[in-house]
Parts: sequence; C-alpha cells; structure tokens
Amino acid sequence: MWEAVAGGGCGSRGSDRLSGILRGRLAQDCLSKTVREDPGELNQRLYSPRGVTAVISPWNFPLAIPTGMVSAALVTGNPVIFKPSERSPMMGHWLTEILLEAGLPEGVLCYLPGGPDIGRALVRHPDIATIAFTGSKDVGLGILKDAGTLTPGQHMVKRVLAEMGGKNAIIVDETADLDDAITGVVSSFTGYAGQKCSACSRAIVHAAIYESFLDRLKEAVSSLKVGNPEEPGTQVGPVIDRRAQSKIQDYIEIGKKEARVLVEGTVTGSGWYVGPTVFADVAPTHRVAQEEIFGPILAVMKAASFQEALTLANSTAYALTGGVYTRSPDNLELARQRFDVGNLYLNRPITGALVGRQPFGGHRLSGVGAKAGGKSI
Amino acid sequence: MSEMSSPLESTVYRIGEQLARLSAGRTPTLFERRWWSQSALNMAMQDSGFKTQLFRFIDVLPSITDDEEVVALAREYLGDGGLPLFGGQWGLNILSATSLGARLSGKAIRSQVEHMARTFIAGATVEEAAPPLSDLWQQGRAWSVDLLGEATISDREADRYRDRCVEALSLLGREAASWPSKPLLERDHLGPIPRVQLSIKISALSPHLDPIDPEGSYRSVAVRLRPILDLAMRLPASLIFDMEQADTKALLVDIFTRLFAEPSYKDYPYAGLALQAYHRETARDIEGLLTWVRRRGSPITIRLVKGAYWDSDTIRYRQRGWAVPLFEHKAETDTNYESLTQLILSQTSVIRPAFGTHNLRTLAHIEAVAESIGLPPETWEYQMIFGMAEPFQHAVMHYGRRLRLYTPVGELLPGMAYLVRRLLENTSNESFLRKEYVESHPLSTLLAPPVLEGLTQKPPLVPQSAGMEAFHNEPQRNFAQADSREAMQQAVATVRSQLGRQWASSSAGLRLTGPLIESRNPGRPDEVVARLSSASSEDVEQAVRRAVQAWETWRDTTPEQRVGYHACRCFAHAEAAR
Repeated sequence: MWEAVAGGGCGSRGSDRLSGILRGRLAQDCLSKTVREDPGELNQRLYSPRGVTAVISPWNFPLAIPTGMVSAALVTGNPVIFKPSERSPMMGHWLTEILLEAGLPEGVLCYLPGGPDIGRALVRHPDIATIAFTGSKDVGLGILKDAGTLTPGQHMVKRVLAEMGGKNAIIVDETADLDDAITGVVSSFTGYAGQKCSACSRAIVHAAIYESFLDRLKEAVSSLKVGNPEEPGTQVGPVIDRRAQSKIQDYIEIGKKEARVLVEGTVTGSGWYVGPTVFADVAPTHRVAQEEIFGPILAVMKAASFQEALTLANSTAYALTGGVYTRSPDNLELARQRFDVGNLYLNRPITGALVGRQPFGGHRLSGVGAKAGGKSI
Repeated sequence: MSEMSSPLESTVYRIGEQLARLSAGRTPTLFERRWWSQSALNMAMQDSGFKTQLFRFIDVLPSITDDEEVVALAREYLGDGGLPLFGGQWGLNILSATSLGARLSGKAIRSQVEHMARTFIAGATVEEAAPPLSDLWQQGRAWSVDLLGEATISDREADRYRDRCVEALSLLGREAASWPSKPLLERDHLGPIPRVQLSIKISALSPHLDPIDPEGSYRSVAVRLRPILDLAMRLPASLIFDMEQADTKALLVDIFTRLFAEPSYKDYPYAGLALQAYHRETARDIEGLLTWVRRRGSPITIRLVKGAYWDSDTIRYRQRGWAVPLFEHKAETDTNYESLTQLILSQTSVIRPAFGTHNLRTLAHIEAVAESIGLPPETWEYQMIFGMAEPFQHAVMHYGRRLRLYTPVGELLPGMAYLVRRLLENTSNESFLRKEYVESHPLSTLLAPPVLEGLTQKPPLVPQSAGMEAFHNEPQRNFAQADSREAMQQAVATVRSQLGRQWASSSAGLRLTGPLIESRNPGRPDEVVARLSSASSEDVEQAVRRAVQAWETWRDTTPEQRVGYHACRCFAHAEAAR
C-alpha cells in the first residue's frame, strides 16, 4: 500500500511515506484525508494499493503473526503470496483455508510453503512490490539488501517491513517489588522456552539487591516445570527443532566460558528440550549479553546505579522490547525518556503485546521502526 | 423507613443501638495522634491522591536499605509537603536538607512506620508475638495467627512457609497450654475448641498453584500441608484456609474438600476456610460444602468475610476481558453477606460460623438472625483484624460474644507494606478506618439495610458483536473454569487424532511441485505432526503471475468490501500475541 498526495489541479503523485502495515482491519479513515483547504483548492491525500505483497512469516507465532500481516495487505487492496516458515507450516495452511472459506477470491491469496530459497525467490522477483517480514536479523538484512537490488522488469522500489530480533533487557532497581520482578523476569525469559522476539534475555540488577535477587531467582528458575507441553502444569516446553536446540546449547557453552553459571537446567527425554539457564556476573561485552539466542537463557548483569543500568540496557545493536521494575517515580520517568526500545514495559513482563493495545515493533537492528497492531500511521 | 417495621429490622436496630453504645467514645488506634499530626491525617484521608502516594511509599519502604534514599523516595512520592507527616516535631524538613540530616530523617521515617506496624503486627517472629497473644487471651480475646511473608515463587520458599507454620503451631501450642482457662473462648455449641488457630495462605505453600492444573496444584500443596495438619491434629489447633484472589477460589475450595476428605483427616473437626461475600458464587460454594460436610461427618468452620481483593481482582478480570465474578456494588455484597449469614446460621449442626466484619449493621444483623433462630451465643464467633476497629472489638466483647483477632505475625516493615496493599488500599475497607464514621452518622443510617434499588450495572467491557470499525481482542480462555480446561484437553485430543496426515493446500489453484515438508512434534521428535507439499522455484513464478492478474480486480474493490469477509469463529482462539 502506498499513499499519494494529490494536490488540487496538479495531480502529481508524491512520495511514499507510509510507515507501516496495519495488523488487523484498516481503519476506514485511511482511505482519504483532506490535507488542507486553501482558497480555491482542496488538497487531499488518497491511499492506493501498492501491488503484490510477499508475506514471509516466522515459525514461532505460526497463526497470530501471519494473520496480521496477510489480512493487513489484503484489506489495503494488495494480493498476497504467503510463505510461512518451513519449521511450522501447518497453521499457515489453516489460515489460508479459513480466509478462502470466508469468500476471498482465489488468486488474491496464495499459500506457498517452503524454505529460504522460496523466500529469496519471492524477494528478488521483479513483480513483488512489498515484503512484510518477521524473523531473524540476518534474514531480514538479507531481504533489505535483495529488495534494494533492481532486477530486470522491475518498475517499483520495493518496500520492506521487517521485524527482526531483540536482546531485550529488564532493569530491576533497588526499589523494585522483588516478588513481581523475579516472576516477571522468569516468565519473560522462559515463557515459550524464550522463543519470542520480545523475550527477556538480559536482567540488569542494581548492586544493592543483586545478591538477594540472584538467590531468589535461582530458586524460582530451579522450581520451573520443564517438559511435555500437553501437560497443563508444564511451564517450559521444548524448543522448535534440533537446529534450535544445538544453537542454544552452543551458547550455553559460550556462556560458561564467559560468566558464572547460576542455574543450568537439565532435561531428560527425547524432545528438543533446553533447561532454563541463567548466567550471573555477565559483562556487557560478552556474547551472551550481545547476541540473540532465542532460547530460555538469561544473562544477569550488575549495575551500580539506575543510570548505569540504562546505559547497559541500551548497549546492544537491538531495540525491541525492554522492561523496568522500580517503584521510584523518578526512575520510571528516566526510563521513559532514555530506555531506547520500541516497546517499553513498566512493572510488568515484557512479552504478550496485544493488537490494539500495545502496537509492536522496534528499531535499530530490531526492525525498520514500523509498528504492528496499532491504529496510528 | 419502611423496613424498620419488619421484626428482624427492629431487632437489628435494637441490638445495633446497644453495640454502638458499647463502642462509643473509643478511638481506633489508627487515628491516635501519637503518629500523625492532625493536619497530616486530614490530608491523607481527604486527598485520595495523597493517600495513594503515602500507601505506595509505605509499600516500597521495606525494600530500601539506605537511609538517604528513604528521604529521597519520600520526596518523590509525597513532595516536600509530605515529610512533616512523619513527625513535624522533629523538624525533618530542615534536617533532611543535609546529607547527615537525610540519614537521620531516613531512620526516623523508618522507625515511625515500624512503630505504626506494631499496632497491626503482633511481632516480627512468633516468639515475639507470644506475649501480645497471651495478653489478648488474658483480656478475653482469642486469635488466629497469620504468618506474613513475601510471595512464594520457588519450592524452597514454599518449604520455608511450611516450616514456619509447623514451628508456629508447636511454639504457640506450648505457650497456650499454660494460659488460664477462658470458658467463653474455649467452647462452642459443638464442643471444645482449640486455643491455637492458624490462618494459612495456600498460595504460599506452592510455587505451582495454577488454576490450569488442579491436579498438580493439589499435589504440590497437599504434600506441604500434611505435616502442618498432622501437628494441628495432635495439639489440637484449628487451621483456616485464607481465601485469596478470585482466580484461585475454586482451586482452594477443591484442595480443602479433597484434603479433608482423606481418611487420616476426615475426622479432624477444626478445619475451616474463609469465603467471600463479594463473590457471586459463594452461596453455591456453601451449598456444595454443606453436601460435602454431611458426607464427611465432622464439622468445618466457615469464616464469612466480605473480601479484600475487590480492586485488584476487578482490574485483573477486566484487563483480560473476562466477566468479573464479584459483585460490583458494595450494597450487593452487603446483601449477599446477610443472606449467607442466614444460610450459615441455619446449618450449625455441621458448620462452626465465624463472621469477619467491622461493620455495625452487619454485627447487629448477625445477632438479630441468631436471635430469631434462637441460637445460643457460643454458636458463632466474630473475627476482626488485630489493631483495627477497636471500638467494635470492645463492643462485641462486652456484649458477651466470642471475639477472635486475625493477627499478622512477621517482619514489621514488609508486613506493613503487605497490610497497606491488602487492607488499607482496599476502598471497601475505608469506612471502618474513618474515625468520624460512627460519630458523624445517625444510627438510622449506620443500621439501615443495604439498598439494591437504583444500582446500575456497568455494561460488559467487551462488545458482544464487533462492528466494522471496532477492533477488539478475543479474550483468552479462563482456565480457572473447568469447561475451558476440558475444551483444551479435547482440542489437544482432536489434533492428536489427526497427527501424521498429509495435507493438500490451496495455493491459488497451483499444484505445488517442491518436496514434502514434514512437521514434527518438538516434544516427541519421532512423531510427525503433518506432511505438506512445498513450493519449488517454478511455483513462485506461477504464483506471482496469478497474483498480478488477481490484482487487476482486487485493487478496484472498496475497502468496505475487503474488510467484509468475515472469517468464522475459528479465529477466536488464535494463539497469544507476542
């Protein structure tokens, strides 16, 4: 979808300045907007579809994320080619079936499951106008590069909406309610086995409470029930596949060399499990403090002050979600101003953004700054 | 008032008058001037914004170890105007301008709040609480000890709470054995009752109390409850389950009935649980308990309270888009309390009634109902909170009734924070906290029955039908409800029955020519979830060509048409957002 500025009597098509694809239904008032009325002129902004949209969605939310990306492109008048991740293709199948059952004309939505080669072929295709992507930083940057390379027959600059990774931090200061802070950190880093772009992977804790925080955190993590997700009491399930498991285990080995192991979860059984693992005394330069692991791994760092905690929190390439547990009004205000993330959560867990309530998306290497699930453009 | 003409109402009025006379001229400790300057007190009680800030400050205070920071935080919350609250006589304002002064002021503030805490908390430890508990007994007041502490978030913390309960029971059992006999406090209509009563917070006994998993919750709680219960039976002592947030209510009732039906515990006659009149299901719960207790054969205590989690529960349920299970209006809760009073007092062959209330009308109503049934006064008891509503404590004692004080024991500063959260910040508790309340209202108002007429109910938060323009999230399932849990298990079973199938997808009429994708169950990698055809590079070419064609007509549809495709309710329970 793109916007055009039609000046009264001039008719020139202006620049494309749309900053995001809406997840969910497009508000009616997006259709046209009077920019201004001057004597003798009526200036309007009209929205038109851009053309074929490739939706490349991740495995971890195989229904929620593509539902937003696919429906947003469709309601704004763009046909969609939808490539779900080959690691969890079945929900995309059902999404497509449901939309067709609702009466969507065939051809407007094409479900195209496949691996990276299919994604690449779509991105490079000259007739693709828009690419809506959610996934890893490396794949996202590759898409931005490919999309910027002109191919024969292409007559439109491709627009890429990319939502990539995170290295999200929660700051816990000395005024925090530790009951809330520890449960919030634990659920944010172990929920869904840490496989959310919004998941917490760093806890930055004020020196005054560092030891007591670690002491209670260790016990809380050790008490988690890891196992078969079909059991209702299970709190941490497996990771998606062997590739993910190996990558996370590699990071655990790296963390052991870099920092102190506070908890190392052990899991028996044949599934692709990784026990929740916490490293303490992590330095900001450590790889476990910088790289996205996408598993139930937490790096805990000590900060001498709230200012220093903010500096540490902002010291990665990512800027997606972040959280603060504090009961100091001044520190809450400071976090609002200085915590450089797309979604900042105060005194609550940092995952679970809801459409319409917490428009979602980050900047820096976490994405292109678009917000999904919000009304404003 | 027309209600006054009914016989029950005239009894309520007669007894209410007597109780009011017995309470007259006494000041609730909270309002004694030794802590507060009168102006500060007025400020706190009249300015709700200031009061909230004050409570928040007391809530955070125990976390702060640095005295200078105490002062800094006091300023953040209360502004400079707030410091005199903690003792204008010490000139904290002037002192705290210097760093040395700030340290002194920090200490002063902390000791002020600790001092205040001593009125509501009998001691930092059970040892420390034993003398005040003994004093209560000597004065003719029974008690129920509540061990304060942080939330339980690990097995170790759950074990520690269990150990504290066991230690408290043995120490109190030893102490109480030497106390003088108090016939009023030691016998009810069913026989002797123990001197020692412990109120138990079930959520503190397990980090795995989760409504989605009643079985696992029961196991993890019961394993820690049994040693406590074994000791309580030997002493004997009474054990009362405190009721907590609404989402664990069904779970706690379930744990109670399962545990006390076990062969070793089914004859224990001193088990009890608190039930909340503000909960819409409480009448049904009591009916269920009555059926259960008759089958069990030995009686239980029901402590009827109004409920202390209204504000937080209401917010939490609304936030999740769930119907709030609590009555919306105080008058509805009061009405329900009165009807539950009737119910409980009519079943005293199997119920030991305990009424938790600090309200004059409620006290008088209970008396009136009991009188109308002709129950002897040892049948029921009143429970009030240690350090609160002393005028009414005094009144019911002198009216010859058994009074038990719910008595918190635990570290003072954290305990004070807990009390602020639980009791003081609860708007429904405000009335009994106000000193002027009894003195400034005519008795006819204080004793009037709750009025339901004219109450408006808030419309449900989530619109029933979604308009085109309104987006709303489908609420997630509430797994505290059995039907939701069953539906979930059912759904898992349905999917399980389809595992391993090969699916053909709708790809805009294309027959996909890539290899089969196999999706496996990460929990059991041997298990194939589904097999699906995938696309080849040639398919990409075809797909894009068709999409370009489709755009020719799709681009000309109006937005209204495009949003008009209504997918079925299958979407309703898409997975939780990120």
